[in-house]
Amino acid sequence: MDRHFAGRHTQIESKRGATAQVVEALDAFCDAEEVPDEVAWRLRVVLDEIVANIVTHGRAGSGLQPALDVWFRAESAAVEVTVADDGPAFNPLLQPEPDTTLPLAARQPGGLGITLLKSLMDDVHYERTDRNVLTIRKGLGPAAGTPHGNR
Amino acid sequence: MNIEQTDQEGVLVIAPSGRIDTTTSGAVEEVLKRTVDVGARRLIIDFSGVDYISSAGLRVFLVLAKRMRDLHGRLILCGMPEPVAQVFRLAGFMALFQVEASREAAVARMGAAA
Repeated sequence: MDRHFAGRHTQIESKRGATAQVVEALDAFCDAEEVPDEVAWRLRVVLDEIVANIVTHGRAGSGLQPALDVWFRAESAAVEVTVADDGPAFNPLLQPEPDTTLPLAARQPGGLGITLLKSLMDDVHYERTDRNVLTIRKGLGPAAGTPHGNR
Repeated sequence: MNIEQTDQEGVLVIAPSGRIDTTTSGAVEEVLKRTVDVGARRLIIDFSGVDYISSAGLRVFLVLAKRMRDLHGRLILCGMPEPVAQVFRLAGFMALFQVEASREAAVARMGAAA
């Protein structure tokens, strides 16, 4: 039995790029709810990371883009987005993060998406049911512009 | 995604505009790669028209920085709007690049080092 989440629901088609579809749906949501730019760009960056990860890890299993649903919710003081996918169990919060203090010669590409996910949102929650369910939350208050620490 | 290229006082300035994310970073990477392939060794990237950058975009600039270092070229970034600057800071990238506030300052710095 599939779980249902409140909010504006978008089902992602497997025929074309998932990240582009999710960002389009996010744009429509941000326009409709008048989400401030300071919050909207953070959501765009973070959803791009989340969906790119789902596509990469989902394909590793089956070669197909996993079925993907997104719910957007605007509350009075925060915005919440839930992404659910049918890919193999994958908790992005447990992935290793790169050492961001290393010099250029020692830096390797990759892993920064997780750092951005944790840093740009106020709250990130992962749950494994029969799907991967990831919920991100960002406050709209005056503190929305304050950079949040990574640790 | 539009990518403008301007020769300014003998320095090539590349100015992408719009969003640099999973969807568009391939196009940015291709332009930068080709530019360096044909011999550009003094490059300025002007971010003033960029809305935001995701980790797919960061990867492109990390690869470019490494390549320019190997080729003994010079790379200066400039004009970062706050969303771009914030992502660079969170990634620890401010320490990996020379960053100037404006295109004029970047050109001046490049000229001073010529």
